[in-house]
Parts: sequence; C-alpha cells; structure tokens
Amino acid sequence: MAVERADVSPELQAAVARARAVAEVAGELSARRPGLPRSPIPGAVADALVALLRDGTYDAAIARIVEDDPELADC
Amino acid sequence: MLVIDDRTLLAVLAERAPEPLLRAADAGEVFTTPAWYYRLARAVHDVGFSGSLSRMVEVLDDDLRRQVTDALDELPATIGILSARVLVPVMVQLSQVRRLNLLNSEAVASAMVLGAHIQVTVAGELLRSACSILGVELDVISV
Repeated sequence: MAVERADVSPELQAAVARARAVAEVAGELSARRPGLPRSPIPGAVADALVALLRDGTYDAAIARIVEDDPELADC
Repeated sequence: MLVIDDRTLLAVLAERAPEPLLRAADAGEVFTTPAWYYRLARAVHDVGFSGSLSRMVEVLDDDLRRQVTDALDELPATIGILSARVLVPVMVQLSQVRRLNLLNSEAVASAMVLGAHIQVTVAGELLRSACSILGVELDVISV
C-alpha cells in the first residue's frame, strides 16, 4: 500500500491514517452511499458525449477552463 | 478501489466506459475527486462543449438538455468522493514534499487514503513523478 513506502514521511503516514479513520467514521468509504435516484442518459446523447470526448471537443473546453484556473490543469 | 479523472468519469456517467470499470462503479469501488468533478461540471456548461452536443443530437430539446445536464451535474451515489475534511490534512502534508496543483494534490491524497489506483486518460509529469515517489499506482487508459 502506498503509505508503507519508505519515501513517505512519518508525518504524511500519520495524516493518511487519521484521514482514513475520519473517512470511515463519516461513511465516506462505504459503497452504500446516500443519493437521489437519477435518470439514465439516453443512448444517443451518451454516444454523442463519448464522441466529443474522443474528438477533442472536451479537451478544448478543459483548455479554456485551465486558462482561467491553472489549479485545474493536468500537469 | 479506483480514483478516476473527469474524462473517465464522463465515460462512466454515459455508461460508455470499459465494462470492468462500469462493474467497479456499480460495486461502489470507483471514486473521483472534488476538482475533477468540478472540472467536468464546468466543461459540461462550457458554451463550446454544450453547443457541439446540441448540434450532434438533433432531438436535444430543453427537457432532454436539462435531464442530461442534471445527470452530469449530480454525482450518482455509486461514485465515491472524499470530503475536504478528509483530504486537506493529507494535502497539507503532501505540499511539504511535492509541489502539486489542487487537481493533482486531491488525486494523490484520495488514492493514498483509499489505498487506490489512480486511473486517468492524461497524466502530466508532476502527477507521474508524485505517484512514483509516493508509491501510488497510476494507470493511463483510453475511454
């Protein structure tokens, strides 16, 4: 597991262990999460979304977002 | 457990991701991060992206458009996401060892807390380097 690596400082290991405990108590690790029922995306729209993902349209949108907010950049 | 980026998340929400990933999502084993979720939501509302979607789907009337936007804005219960209460203390410690932006810091922190792999479509050098040093598995996939 990642936190057992020698490159991880004791402080980081401790923070990860505490965070895991907090997440467990808060139910954030559970597969049974609360949520509203949602309608599926119609098939034709789903196909179009994936096409836009593959043809660069989505990446162009990301480029505009990242220009405004570099903290959201892939780097 | 997997932590996925926004492009992979879009494919999962459209139910067009690879079958093993869809099964993992149904089992509650797929997580994303607040920043990737936020970036997806912003992209869906981007004028260029939504305009292209409208042109591709002729039947995309107002009701259907709202249904699609809602489906992409609201993360389904099957996708996990860790809260700032969990992530921030780990991100603070990460900042002592690596210079990461918010997007990458949340991803690495999420993976470390969950003991998960990160699964992305695009991996920059800073993310690759941080994962390598910290022992986080990083998979680059196509969707």
